[in-house]
Amino acid sequence: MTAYTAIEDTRIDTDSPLDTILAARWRDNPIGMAEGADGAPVIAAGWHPYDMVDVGDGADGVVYDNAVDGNQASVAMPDFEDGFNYRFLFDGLSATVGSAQFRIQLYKETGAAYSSAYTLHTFGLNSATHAGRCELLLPRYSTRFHWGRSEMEQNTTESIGSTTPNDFRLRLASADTILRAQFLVHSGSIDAGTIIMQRQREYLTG
Amino acid sequence: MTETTIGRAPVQIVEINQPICGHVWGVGKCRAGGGNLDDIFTTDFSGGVGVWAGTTATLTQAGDRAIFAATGSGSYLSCSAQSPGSDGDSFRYVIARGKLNATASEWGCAFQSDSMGSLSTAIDAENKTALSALAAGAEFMAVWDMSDSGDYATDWVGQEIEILRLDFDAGSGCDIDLYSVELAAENPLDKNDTKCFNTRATCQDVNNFRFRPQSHLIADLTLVASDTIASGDLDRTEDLFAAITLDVPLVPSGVVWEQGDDTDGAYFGFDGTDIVFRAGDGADPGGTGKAEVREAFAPYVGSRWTFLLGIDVSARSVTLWAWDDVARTITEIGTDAATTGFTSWAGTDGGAIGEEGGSGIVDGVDATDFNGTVVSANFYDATAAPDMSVSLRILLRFSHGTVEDRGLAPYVIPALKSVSTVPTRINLSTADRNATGLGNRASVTAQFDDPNHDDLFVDPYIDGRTYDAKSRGTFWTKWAIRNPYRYNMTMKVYEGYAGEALSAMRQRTYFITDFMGPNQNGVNIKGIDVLSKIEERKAQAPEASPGTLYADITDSATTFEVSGAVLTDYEAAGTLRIDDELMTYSSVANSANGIEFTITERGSDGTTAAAHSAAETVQRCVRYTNATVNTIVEDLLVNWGGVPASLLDIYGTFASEVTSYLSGVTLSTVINEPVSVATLLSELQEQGSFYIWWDERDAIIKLRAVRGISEQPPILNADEDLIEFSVKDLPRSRISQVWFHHGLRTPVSSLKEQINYRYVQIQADLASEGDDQHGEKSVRKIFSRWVNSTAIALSTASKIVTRYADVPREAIFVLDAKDRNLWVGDAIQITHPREIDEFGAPLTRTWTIISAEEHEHGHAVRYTAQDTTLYGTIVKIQAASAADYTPGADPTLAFIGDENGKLSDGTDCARIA
Repeated sequence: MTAYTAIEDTRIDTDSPLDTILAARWRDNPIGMAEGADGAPVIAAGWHPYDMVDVGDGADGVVYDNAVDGNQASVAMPDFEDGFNYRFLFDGLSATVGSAQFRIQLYKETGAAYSSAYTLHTFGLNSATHAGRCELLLPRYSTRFHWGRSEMEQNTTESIGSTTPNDFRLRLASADTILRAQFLVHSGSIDAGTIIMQRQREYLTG
Repeated sequence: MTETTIGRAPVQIVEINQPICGHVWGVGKCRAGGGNLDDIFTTDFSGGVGVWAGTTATLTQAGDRAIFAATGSGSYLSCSAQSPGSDGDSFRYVIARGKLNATASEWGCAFQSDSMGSLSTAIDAENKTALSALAAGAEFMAVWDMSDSGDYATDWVGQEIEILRLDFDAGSGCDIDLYSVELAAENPLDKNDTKCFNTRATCQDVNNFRFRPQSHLIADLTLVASDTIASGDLDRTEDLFAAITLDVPLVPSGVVWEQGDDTDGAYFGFDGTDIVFRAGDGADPGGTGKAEVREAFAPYVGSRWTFLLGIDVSARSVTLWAWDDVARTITEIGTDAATTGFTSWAGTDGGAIGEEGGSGIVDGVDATDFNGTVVSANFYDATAAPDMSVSLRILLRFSHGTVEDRGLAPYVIPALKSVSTVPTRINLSTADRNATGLGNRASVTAQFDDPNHDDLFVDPYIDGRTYDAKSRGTFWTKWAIRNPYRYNMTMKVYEGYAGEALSAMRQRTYFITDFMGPNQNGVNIKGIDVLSKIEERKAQAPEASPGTLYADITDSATTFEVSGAVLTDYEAAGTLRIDDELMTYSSVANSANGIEFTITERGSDGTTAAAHSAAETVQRCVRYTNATVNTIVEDLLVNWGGVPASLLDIYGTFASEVTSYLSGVTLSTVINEPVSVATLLSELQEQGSFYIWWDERDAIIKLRAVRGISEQPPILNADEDLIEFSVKDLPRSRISQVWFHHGLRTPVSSLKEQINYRYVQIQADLASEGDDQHGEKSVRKIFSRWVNSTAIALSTASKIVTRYADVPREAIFVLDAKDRNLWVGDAIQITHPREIDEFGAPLTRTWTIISAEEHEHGHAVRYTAQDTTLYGTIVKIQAASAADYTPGADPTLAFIGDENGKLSDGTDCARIA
C-alpha cells in the first residue's frame, strides 16, 4: 500500500521550493487515498464511520456502547449532515424486558419533533441478543417521503441463509428534512450491545 | 565564451572528401569498358564457359563474377568458341582480377589461339610468379604478357583468340573469386597514362570501386534482427567476415550476433560499458583458447555504425573495425588472438541476430536482447576480412596559401581564394512565409584558383608516370574529368587560428551540389547542407509505383495480380491505392503474370471499394500509426530522403526532445501518392510543434520541440558582449487565430478542403484583434493529414497563437569571434539599453537563434534570433529539501508562489501548464 504523507503548510507557502519531496507526495498521496492508507483523508463516497476524518484516526462510529453508556430506554443518534446517507449497525443488543419492540423515530427538522415510532424488530427473551442494520437514504433531502430499510435477527446458532429486508417509510404532511434518528424499546431499556453509525456521500443535498 | 583571439591570425581550410577506388589492384584500364566477366560470359564467350578437363573443379557464376574452385592438379578455366574482339584485333596482354580464397602451389594463365594448336598445361614461370606471392584472401590483378609466355611466345601476338584459358594449376585447394578478365594490346602497368586515378570514374567499373570496405563481396547471409543462424549456415572452421550495421543507443546492451555456446562460441554485442567481439573458447574467462576484443563502447553510442568483424582461423584471431559511412574511415577497434585451440571459432550450437539463438551462448557476456536496432547483418562465409589498410578516400585540402595556413595538414593545396557561407535558418512554426517549412539551407561557396598541378597526392601512381603532369592540364580540369560523380561529396570548412591543430578548429560540413568552372577565374564549388537531399525533385514518399493491374477486378476481389513490378517495389504487407480506393494487404508473392496481392480490407481508410480496370496504377502507400515525430522524421529522412542515418541525432536530441516534450504527440496518416519529403516534413514541423535543422558545426541533423527554455541561457549585454544589436518587427508573421482542421475523412480527397475534415480546433487571441490593439485578425489555416487528436490540435494551435498573437520580433546581433560558441537552436537572453519596458526599466527577453554565420572570418559572428520570451521557461522540480527562493535564484528552478502567482519579490512563479 502506498503511504500517505500530509503536505505541511510550510512546504507550500510562498517561496518554498517545488522539490522532489513535494512532487512525490503529489504523486503518491492520491494513490494512498485510494488505497485507504493510514493518515489519508477518508473517502467519503464509501461507507465509513460518521466521525472518521482520516484513516486510522481511531474514530469508529460507535454511538452507543452499553458497556460505556449503560442501560438506556432510548438512544439518540448524532445529527445528520447534509450530503450523506446513513447506516446503523446493531450488534449484541438486548432489552431488560422480554419481547420488547426495538423501534426507530426520525426527528423532523422543520417540524421540530420526532415522528411516531416504527418497530424494526421484536426482541425475544431478554437474555437473547440481536444484530442487524438499518439504512436511511437521503435523510437530508426535503421531501414528504423518507425511506429506510432494516434487517435484524436474534443471535442464535451459526447458520447461513436468506434474510428479508424490511423497507419502511415516513410519510409527512409537508416536505421536511430529517435531522437525526433515535432508537428505543417500547418497554424496559436496552441492556447490552453496541450501535455504530456510518455514512456515505451523496450529492443531492450537499 | 573564454576563447582568446587577440593577435592570432585566422586561417581557413576547405576539405573535399573524395572517395577513391579501394581495390588493391587499383591500377586498371581507365574507363575502357568491357573486361567484366558479365560481358565476357554474355557476349564474347557466349559459346560457352566451362572447366577445361578439370578433374574436380567447379565454375559457378555469382552476380558479375566467376567462382572457380578446384581441388585437383591441372584444373583450369577456359572460355572458348568465340573471339573476344573483332578479327584483326591484336592482343598481347591478359589482365585478370580476382581474389585468392586459398593459397595453392601454382597459379597462372595460358592461352590458345585458333592457329596455335593444342595447349600445354604447363604454366609459364613468369606467369606463375604473378600470383604465387600472394597470401590467401588477397585480391590481385595479374597481367600476363603472352609474348613472354614460353609456350606461345611467337604465336600469340596479333592472333585472334579462340580460347582463353586461365590455368590455375591448383595442386590442391585452388579457390578463386574471379572478378574480371580483359585483353589488351598494351600492358596497363607500362602504359602510364591509362593508370587509374582511383576515382569512381576511372575504376574499371562499379564493381571495382569499393565504396565500402565490403562492397566488392557478395554476402552469403543477409540477416535482420531475430533471424536465426543454423549451425551449418557458416563454416566454423574457416575464416569469417561480417559487416553489421547498427543504430547504437546511448547505453547499448545485449547480443547483436552470437553463434555457438559456452564450449566454443562467437559473440558480438555490448556488455557492461564495452563493445565485445570474441570467438573460440566459450567459457569465462576462456583461457588461451579465446580471442576477444573488448573496448569501451562510448565512441560509438547514439548513432549508426557499420561494424566489420573478421575471424582468422589460422591466426586464431578476431578483429573488429568500425566503418564511418560519411567520413569514409575505418577504425580498428581492436584485435586479439588465441594461443591454443581455435580450430573452430564456434561450436555446433546455432545462433541468431539481436538475441541469443540456439540453446547456448558464450559465458561472461550480456545475453539479453540487443536494445538497439540491427539495420543489417551480412556474413561472408569462409572469407577472410578484406585489406582494411586500404584508404577509401582522399582528403583534398585547400588553403589561402598564407604563411599561417602552412603545416595545417599533410598536404594542403594553396588554391583557395575565398569562402562565403549562407547560414541555415530555422523557420519556427513555419511562421516565415517567405521560407520553406524547413527554413533555408546552409550553404558554402568556395572559390579556387586553378593552377597547374603535378598530381602530387592525387595520383597514386605518380612515380610511374612518364609525363610531367604539371604540363598537362590544370588541377581542376583534371579533377573534374576524373570525378564526374563529384556531387554529394562531403565538403568541410575548417576555421581557426594560426598554430591551431586542424582537429581543434571549428568545422562546418556541407555536400557538394554545384561545380562551376574551370574558367579564367578558377572554380567555384558550392555545398549545401544534407537537408538539400530532400528537395522535391530528389525525394518523394512514397515513390511512384510501377505496377499496374493485370486484369479487371471487382469491388470485392481479395486477390489480384499486378504486372510491371517486382516484390521489392512494395512492402511485404501494407496499403495500396488504386484509383480512389485504398486497400490493405497482408502478403504479396510472385505469380504467373507478375506479383499477386492478398487483400485484407477493401475500401480502407474512409474510401469506397470499387471495381477497377486492367492497367490502372497500383500505388504503394506509406502508413504511420500513432508514431512519434522522431520516428516519422527518421523514416522520411533516411528511408525516403536518402540521408545517411549517421547524420541524424537519433539518440541525442531526437530522443531527448521527444521523451521530454513531445511524447504525447503521436501522429497517424496514410500517404497514398508521391509527396515530396520536404513537404511532409514541413507539415510535421508545423503540426507537431517541433523543428529540425542541420547543425553544420556538429555535422548532424538536430530536432527540438517548440517550447520554453529549460535552463538558464547565457545572458548577453551591450557592455561586454554585443558588438551590434538591432531589432525589427515581423508583421507578416503575426497570427491571431489558428484554425486547425484535423481528423481527415478520406485521404484521397483534397487535403485543402475543410469539408474533408471532421474537426476544427479554433484558437484565437481576440483581444489582440481589437481596435485598441492590432485592429485586425490574421488567420493561419492548418489542414492536417497527421493529427486526429483534438488535444494535439489544441496544443499546437495554442503555442502558435501564444507566440505570434503579437507581432513577432527578430533580432540581429553581432558577437566577437571569441563568443561564437552560440549557434543555431540555442536560446539566449539579451539585456540592452534599447530593451526596456513601458516604464523604461530594463527588460530581459529570451531569444532563440535561428541563424548564425561567421561574417567576418575569425573576427565576428552575426546571429539572427527570434523573440521566444512568450514560450516561457520550463522549470525543474528541485532536489529534495532545496532552499527557499531568494532573489536572483536560477529562474529554471521551481518555487511555490502566492495566490497571485508571484514570489515574494514579485517575480512570477512557476506555473503548471
